[in-house]
Amino acid sequence: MTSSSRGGEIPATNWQPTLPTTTTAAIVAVVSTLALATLTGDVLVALLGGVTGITLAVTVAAVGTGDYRLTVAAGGLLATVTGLGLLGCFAAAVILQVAWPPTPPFGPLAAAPFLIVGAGLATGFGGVTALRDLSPTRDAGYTALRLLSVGFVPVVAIAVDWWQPLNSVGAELIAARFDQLMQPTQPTSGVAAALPRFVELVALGFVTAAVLYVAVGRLPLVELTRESNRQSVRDVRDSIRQGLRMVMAVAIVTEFCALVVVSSSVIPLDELPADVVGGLLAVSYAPFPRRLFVGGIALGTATLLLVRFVRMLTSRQFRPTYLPLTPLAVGSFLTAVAVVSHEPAAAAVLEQSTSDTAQRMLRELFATVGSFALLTGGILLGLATAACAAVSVSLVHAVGLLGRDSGTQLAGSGVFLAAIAAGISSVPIPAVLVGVAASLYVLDLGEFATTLGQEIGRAGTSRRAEIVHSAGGGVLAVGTVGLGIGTLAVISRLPQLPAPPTAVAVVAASVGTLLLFLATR
Amino acid sequence: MTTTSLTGRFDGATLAAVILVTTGTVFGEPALFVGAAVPLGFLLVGWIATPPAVDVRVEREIDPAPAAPGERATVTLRLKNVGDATLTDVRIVDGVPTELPVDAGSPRACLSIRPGETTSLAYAVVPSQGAYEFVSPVVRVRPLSSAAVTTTQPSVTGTTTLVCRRDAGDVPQLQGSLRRVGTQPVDRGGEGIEFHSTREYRPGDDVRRVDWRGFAKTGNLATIQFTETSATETVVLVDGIETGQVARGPGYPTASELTIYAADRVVTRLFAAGNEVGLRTGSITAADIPVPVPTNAADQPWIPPGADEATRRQIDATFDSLVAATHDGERSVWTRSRGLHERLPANADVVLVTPALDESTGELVETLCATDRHVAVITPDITDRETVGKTVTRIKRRLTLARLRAAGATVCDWDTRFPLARAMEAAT
Repeated sequence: MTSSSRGGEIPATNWQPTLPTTTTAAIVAVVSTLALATLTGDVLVALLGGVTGITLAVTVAAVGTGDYRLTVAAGGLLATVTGLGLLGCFAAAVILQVAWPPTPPFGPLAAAPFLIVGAGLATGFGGVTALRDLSPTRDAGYTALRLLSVGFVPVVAIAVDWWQPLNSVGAELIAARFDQLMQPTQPTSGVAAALPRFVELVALGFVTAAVLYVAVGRLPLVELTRESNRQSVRDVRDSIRQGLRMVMAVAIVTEFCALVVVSSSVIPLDELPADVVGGLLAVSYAPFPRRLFVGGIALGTATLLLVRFVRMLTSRQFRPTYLPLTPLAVGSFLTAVAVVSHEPAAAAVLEQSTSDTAQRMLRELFATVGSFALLTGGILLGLATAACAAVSVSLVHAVGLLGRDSGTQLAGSGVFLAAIAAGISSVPIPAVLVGVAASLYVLDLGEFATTLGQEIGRAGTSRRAEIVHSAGGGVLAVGTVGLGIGTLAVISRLPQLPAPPTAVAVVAASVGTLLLFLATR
Repeated sequence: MTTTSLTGRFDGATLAAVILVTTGTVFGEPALFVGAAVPLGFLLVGWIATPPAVDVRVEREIDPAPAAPGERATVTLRLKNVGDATLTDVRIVDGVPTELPVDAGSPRACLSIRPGETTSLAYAVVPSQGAYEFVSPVVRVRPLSSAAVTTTQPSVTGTTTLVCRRDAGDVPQLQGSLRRVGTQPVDRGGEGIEFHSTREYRPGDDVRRVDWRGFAKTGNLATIQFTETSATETVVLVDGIETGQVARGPGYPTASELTIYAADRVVTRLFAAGNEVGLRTGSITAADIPVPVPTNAADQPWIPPGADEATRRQIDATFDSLVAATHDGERSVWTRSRGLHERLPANADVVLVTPALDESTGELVETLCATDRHVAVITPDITDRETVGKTVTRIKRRLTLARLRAAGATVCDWDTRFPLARAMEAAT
């Protein structure tokens, strides 16, 4: 079927996830996240995160997919607010836990509010993108590119205003940090000092593999190869990408294990064998792997930029003479706002500060950095944060963690994060079980809506089957909650195990065995 | 061929279980450990899921059969669950021929069918002249958990071929203004549409012809007589085939095909009414027609009016060749005025069938109307307002039709989304 009921081509929206099931999934996600946040007592940050997630999605929709200059301009302005909102969400999670005004020293902060912020962000962003069916790869990536164009004028303005300090202090700071990254100073002993470096090294390895994975995928090797050799080149490319995917998976697992070891007392670090400690130190502080990884990142980034440049040269849409007038105009407008308002804003901040210490600190800050640079820097920070968020979504999709139904996946992940937050916040266990079941229910609905959209399309008859599946999925979720409650009842009747590590090992081994059994099937 | 597979629907649950166990370890929270039971429950459901059997019986029905070009044909696909279990997720995609456009509804559906229940999906297609072979639909069945899938192409009972013929469907009545086509008044009272006289009422007269107004005034019953008409010669001109190679959408019948269809229906009606009918077209030459036909100086078919079987055969053969020419995309130069007026019988009516996408149609009709003969124009409309270009074409066509009406022609503007007969009734 190639034509619509009016004789034209079938619109692409027909093959998007079906609306009733997607809407149900989005509603379930929002309600579940807010309910769990209410139970943990963090509904305010959840709402803040949700609203910011929604504005980020609207920004992506306006900037990434907008065809009209006015839409792009509005999206550019909204991006600044969104970025600052993102930072504000996490700030709110901190402020809720410390007294206002924050006075050091601070005690250890609870993880649950931050997870709830993430849950709100993911649910808000995922809900809107699911309903609008935004493409995380194309739309979010394109949004980031346009936002970088918006930031061009403010960056130039700051560079002009702040050239000398950037040239000396900033450059030296960056160079020193880079040297430290490439050749860290090795301590004489102590695995506790080595582990953070090891985490850093593994993260570097993950980023390298991710960048190379995307770069290899972007290289037009198959297209440029002869027809007869295409299949073999495609196989080689897929093998390389498969290998890089495995490297990423290993890096994630290793990182997770390392973080577990760092943050918990399950494995006493002092009891590790000397050879293991020595090996860990050698690997963590060796300059060669770090240089290799940085070289890989540089190579991958250069490849990506080169491919993009060549594609731009041959593109009709983004020809070399293309000038992003609207983003540049938005950047100019934001800079003009900073020029006009930085002095009144600085005066207002000084007036608002109550203590002499704070006033002195602010005066020193304004004298050193400048109020214009501070205000423009804040705008840039907002833009950069929004762009980073968009790029993160794009990257997560690029490495395969987000699939074609990314909107509902994100919304379901939001509910899952909220469930974990509830789990670590002494919320009644049945509520946690319901939260976990709701997250999987949302994922199930998203998958169903996506396959239905792709196979049948929105024009096809599907209402009754959607209702049946939604109801059936709900029954399945309730059943799994019952299974969880049953498990809880069984565990409560078991005799107390001798020590927590032993209990953890037993449970982990049981779950691992079951998972392996299911995976091999 | 039937294929079965697992969908990996709950792969995400594995990751969720691992994360819950790990975070439970890190934070030492039993709630998260127990929470892992939920994704494990999903995994277990996926594990015990088996690809379901496709116990469905499929029947296809196409109405009308055969269909006329441009006519909406409704395809109904009925699925009956002949198994014992409810099929919660049955996805079906009918095997519509790629060249056949779907005009309403969708040949795809996701259904939920109880045992013994029959559900159906219906959609409409708009065929061009020809035969269209439907292939078996693809049916994909999933269990409630969607963890497994079975795909098959079951055999279909009922109709598998849609036939579209020019002679299909009802022959439209020439009503309204078009009723005058092919007739001329005689000085005699009887059946007709124009008032002639009244006479004394006789038992058995149609009550609709009783002069009730006169009865109210005088109290005498009288019967109204209309001017009787008699059959005359009619020449059907088929024009604009070259400019009519456009359609409402991909796969839809072109304006040329619909023009030939309309001409065929008019000729059939006129023959049925006992008229003598002739045909003229400049879109093909006599060499394109498999039977010998009279021609003009340019070797184009010029079949003089006649009511015999030979004339009918010649006209049918000409229509067949015109259809073939539209499918082949052949073009020919239309030389309208060359010999047209000389060859037209003096008292012949003219029925011009044209898409009216050419400005010269106005000139032709004005010339014909200037000779004081009755001219009727039947024109299929395939224009719409989806794009700027189509809107411009639509406006130009409307202006042309206004010009034809101003010249005195009776215009039947046929909106091809509806039957030709309806347009005939409303012609002005």
